[in-house]
Amino acid sequence: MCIGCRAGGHGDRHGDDAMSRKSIGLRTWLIQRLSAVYMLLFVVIFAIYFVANIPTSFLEWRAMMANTFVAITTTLFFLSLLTHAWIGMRDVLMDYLHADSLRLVLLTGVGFALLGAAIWIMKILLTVSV
Amino acid sequence: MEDKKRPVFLDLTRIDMPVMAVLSFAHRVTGVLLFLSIPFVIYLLGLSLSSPQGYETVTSLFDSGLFRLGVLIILWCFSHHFFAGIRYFMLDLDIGVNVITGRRSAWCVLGAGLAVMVIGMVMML
Repeated sequence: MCIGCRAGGHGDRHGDDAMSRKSIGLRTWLIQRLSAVYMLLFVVIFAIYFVANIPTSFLEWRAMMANTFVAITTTLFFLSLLTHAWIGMRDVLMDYLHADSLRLVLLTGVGFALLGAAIWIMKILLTVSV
Repeated sequence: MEDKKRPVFLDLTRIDMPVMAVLSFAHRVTGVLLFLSIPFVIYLLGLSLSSPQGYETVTSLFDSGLFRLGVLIILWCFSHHFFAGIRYFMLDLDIGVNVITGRRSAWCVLGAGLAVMVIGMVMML
């Protein structure tokens, strides 16, 4: 069975609703899970790596994070996290807030805050080796 | 459209909540708390990488009991959300979709989340 059908993402119109609202919901559902899988793998692997090489000084800690592979995979972790947080907060706000204006204000605020966080973390992690 | 006159019963203290419902609610609450922790995490990560002084500031924060408590709360939120997420993922894949397994896996998730927090607590002692 198609995973989208099983999730109820596109009802009984399997295959012919590429741009419908329901398939947008399905795409969101899929992004939420793909970002979760990336974060899950990253956290487990990074935790093992960290415990095996516990930094004991600033220079060791900085050297660990300045490694290109670590810096890029950590940046991807945060981008997954912020995307995941956007979808989650959006779901929560849409479930509990029914006043359109308040919902719009809060969703916009959350969105800008997460975009700002994305730029902030990229500035930190992508300049740490410079 | 929705019938505005239909009865709504949402007295949370009188609704019987199975452990799966508690888990579902906790998944939301921990998710929102994790969202709120993001700026603190990024700030501390940036500070620890900025200079030797910044690194010292961050490591010395662990001397404070209040800071440790905050770290433990976030650690519990993270581990709970992590294990509950794995459980939801398995339910999406049709694994464990029946009341008995579902109830058992929900208890396992609650236990695993708390276990990670206890490990963190021991490591900070």
